[in-house]
Amino acid sequence: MQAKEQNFLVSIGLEIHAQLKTQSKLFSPDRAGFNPGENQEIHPVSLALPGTLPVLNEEALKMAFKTGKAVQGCLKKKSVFSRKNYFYPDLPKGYQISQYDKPFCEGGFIQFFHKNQEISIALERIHIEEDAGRSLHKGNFSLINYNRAGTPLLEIVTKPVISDPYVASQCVKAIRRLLRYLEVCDGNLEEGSMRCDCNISVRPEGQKQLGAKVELKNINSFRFIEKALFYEKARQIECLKLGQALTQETRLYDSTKNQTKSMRSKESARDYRYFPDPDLPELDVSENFLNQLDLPELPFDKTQRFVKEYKFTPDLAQILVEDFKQADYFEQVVLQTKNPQALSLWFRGEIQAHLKEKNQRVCPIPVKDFARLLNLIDEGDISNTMAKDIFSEMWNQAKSPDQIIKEKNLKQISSDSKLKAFAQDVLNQNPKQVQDYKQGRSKLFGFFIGQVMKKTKGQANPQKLSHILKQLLEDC
Amino acid sequence: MDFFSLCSLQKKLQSSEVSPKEVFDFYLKRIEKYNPCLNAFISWKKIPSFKKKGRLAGIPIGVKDLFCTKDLRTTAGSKGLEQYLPPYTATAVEKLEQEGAIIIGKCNNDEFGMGSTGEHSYFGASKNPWNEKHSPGGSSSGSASAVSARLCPASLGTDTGGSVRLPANYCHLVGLKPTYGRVSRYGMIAYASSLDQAGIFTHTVEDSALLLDVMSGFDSKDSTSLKTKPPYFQKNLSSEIKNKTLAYFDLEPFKNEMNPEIVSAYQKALKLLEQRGCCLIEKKIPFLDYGISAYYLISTSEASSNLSRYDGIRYGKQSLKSSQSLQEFYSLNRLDFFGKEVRRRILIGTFSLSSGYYEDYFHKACQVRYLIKQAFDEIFSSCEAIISPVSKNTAPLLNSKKTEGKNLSFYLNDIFTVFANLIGSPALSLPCSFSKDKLPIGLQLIGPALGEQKILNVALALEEDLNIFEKSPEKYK
Repeated sequence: MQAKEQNFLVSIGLEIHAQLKTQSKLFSPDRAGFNPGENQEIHPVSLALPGTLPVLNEEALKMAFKTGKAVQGCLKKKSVFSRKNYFYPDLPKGYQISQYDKPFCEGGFIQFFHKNQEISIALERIHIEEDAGRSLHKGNFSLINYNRAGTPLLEIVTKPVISDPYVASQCVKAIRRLLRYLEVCDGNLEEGSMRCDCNISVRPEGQKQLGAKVELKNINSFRFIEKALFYEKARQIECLKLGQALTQETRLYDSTKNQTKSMRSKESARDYRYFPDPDLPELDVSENFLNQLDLPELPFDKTQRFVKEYKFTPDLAQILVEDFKQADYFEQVVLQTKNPQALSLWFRGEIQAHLKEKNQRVCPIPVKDFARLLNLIDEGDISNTMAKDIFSEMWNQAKSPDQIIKEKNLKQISSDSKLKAFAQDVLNQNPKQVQDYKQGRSKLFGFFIGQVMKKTKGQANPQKLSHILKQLLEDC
Repeated sequence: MDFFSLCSLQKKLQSSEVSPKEVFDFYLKRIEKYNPCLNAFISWKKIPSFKKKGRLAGIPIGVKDLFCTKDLRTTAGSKGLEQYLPPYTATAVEKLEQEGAIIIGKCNNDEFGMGSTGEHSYFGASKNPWNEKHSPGGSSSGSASAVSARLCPASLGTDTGGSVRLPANYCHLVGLKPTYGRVSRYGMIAYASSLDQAGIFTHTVEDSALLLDVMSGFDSKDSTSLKTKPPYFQKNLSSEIKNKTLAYFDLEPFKNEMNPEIVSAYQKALKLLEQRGCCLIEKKIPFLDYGISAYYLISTSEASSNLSRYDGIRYGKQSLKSSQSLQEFYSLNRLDFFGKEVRRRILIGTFSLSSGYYEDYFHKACQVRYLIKQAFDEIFSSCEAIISPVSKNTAPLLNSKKTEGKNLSFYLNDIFTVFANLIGSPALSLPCSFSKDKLPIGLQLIGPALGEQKILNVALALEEDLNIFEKSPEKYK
């Protein structure tokens, strides 16, 4: 099986739809983004009332071009909005305003790390279009909510150059990371502010021409991207092995059954009758507009810098830079401490756990307090276990670590003489156990440690205590 | 009431010789008396609210039923929108209201502006006040009929391929189609977006200039509206056109199909201009054989898409028949919504945009349009304006049975008017003469883009020299 599979080449391409976080809609002044309720405060333009006309939202344009610049695509000074004509109840105008043969951005690439390898996925194009409303099918009637209608979307299309479903999902993640860095999209797959269609084709090795393209829709998580692609890859290879011809079609992914199901074939594909929208003049952006597109440090660049400056592996660096605000926090803390490795563990452990639990984006602890906490560990004043408790306290109560240590009297006992005294006490009080230990019951060492910890209310420096106890027992 | 033009009415109102209420009641009475016969208005106001200030304070104006009006239903002449009340008012109409004009009613028209006789209105044809057996022309049929019969002193129409100029021509009126983008299209129900432009019906050239002054200007709600600041058309009116070069069309290609009375009226007008000291040069209509085809392909293609929104879901009529599928739901709704001519044009346009045909039809038509624009630019490089007839014949008889199946000949009748829309130029039709059977004959002036002033000035000179603008249909004096 394994050997045979190697005889087939897989080509995966991605089509990402990303909702832009603009105040208003792409061609209408009503609010974009999540609106509570159904069909509330929708502008006549969004409802396509007779006589209404589209006016392009400049904020959306800026976001789109920033994205194009960030992927180093070829930004077109002139591009065209076209109408994609089809009938569906949640499409108010009976056409979607999109870009067809003249998108604003062509080419470019998405860069990221996968298994510590640098990967670069070539892009076909990026274009701007408007979203439709939402249909809700209930038994034998359907409800339509037009709140979403007209929300600006970016469609980012990669070339069909991916062969590994894991790389495909990583690529979508990288696109999301980039869009979040640019602050142009929430990137929430579950809520649909970012949607992903995958194209996959399989062909026997040696064949130059790509196989029949199958478009997979309805995939709303990174895990499902992988699962759907693995399923589809296997299905197509199986078909080819059985000598069945594959046809170009659109298939829906069913996550509960982990299957894909044919939705429509090429023959029944719609004729969208694209033509330039006569209500919108050719889009003509100025040199000045292009020059004013400011980009932040991009995630891939930040990742590379983290690798270089803090000696992380690319995969770890990529995790740390996932959210640019967290990455900023990381760098501020690291400036005041000396141990990036230890800090990275805190980031992946405690901080992530707390952020998730509290549903927060950035650690609320002041940088200097968090740095102080780490330095206290480094200097042996507190143990890691203690630090974790102090950390929780700091998160919830906005107190400095020293304050908490003082209040709870948590400071670690590291003085040799004090530790020796506590240990000697414990040994004196438990002569039988000492005798047993001496006769070979080495497990009892833990018992002595426990007893000292009990006496010191857990404040004994564990490394030092262990060292001192060992010596005392030997000397007995 | 003794006044003829909108401007003379304006003076009487400003000097308080008449009150806005008297004026309104005068016209309301006329509408109630004559509309049952003329069918010029689909809806009208009974109780107006007067605004004291503004250049048009107290002046009633009729508006084609393709302009959205917040307080008057807006049907587009369509069954589907029979009861449609828009939540907003079109920018052009809003500008009239801001100057104190009273929108007295909504004028009948061919459904969605598709037609040249007014017979494609769901609300029935309007009649020509000069002879009720004849059409007032279309698609702005009611707007022309109403002003001609003095049911209002001026009205708005829309002009996609001649829908203002043709009825003005048939009804002895001044009909102006401004430069594409001069007047906002926001709130004007679309037929063909790249060709549609709001237009004006008046009795005099000065009235037309005044209304153009009020309605022109950039509108942030219309991306195709022009940013160029309009001049003061009324103030700059001048019939001093000595030494201006004007082009006129060679009518040789039409000699077998044109009414000779129109040809001689045309020649008479040319002579008058010559006497005024104009320099006349003859030009051939460029791409004569392709203009109509390009126009109908582009207009129907755009219409097929523009009219997709009428699905009966969010507004408008929804079929009562139950459907088994989404496709059937759409078919039933739209079949019930639209009349035959609209459906015909949607089908033609859908075909022209379809994959496999796009290159040969829609795309080719756009290429032809570009060439036509270049050819006209060339003509305008050596003249102020072009003079041409408006139509080959006088107002056609109203008789739907006769016109049925003769669509092509009706389409071809637009030959003189479509060019201005294809190139986005301003154009104007003005009263020129009458035929032996007392039907009006008009004349067309086409100007370069943004050259409204040029054609208004030539029209003013002709108005002075022809001295027939004040003639009214006997019955409606």
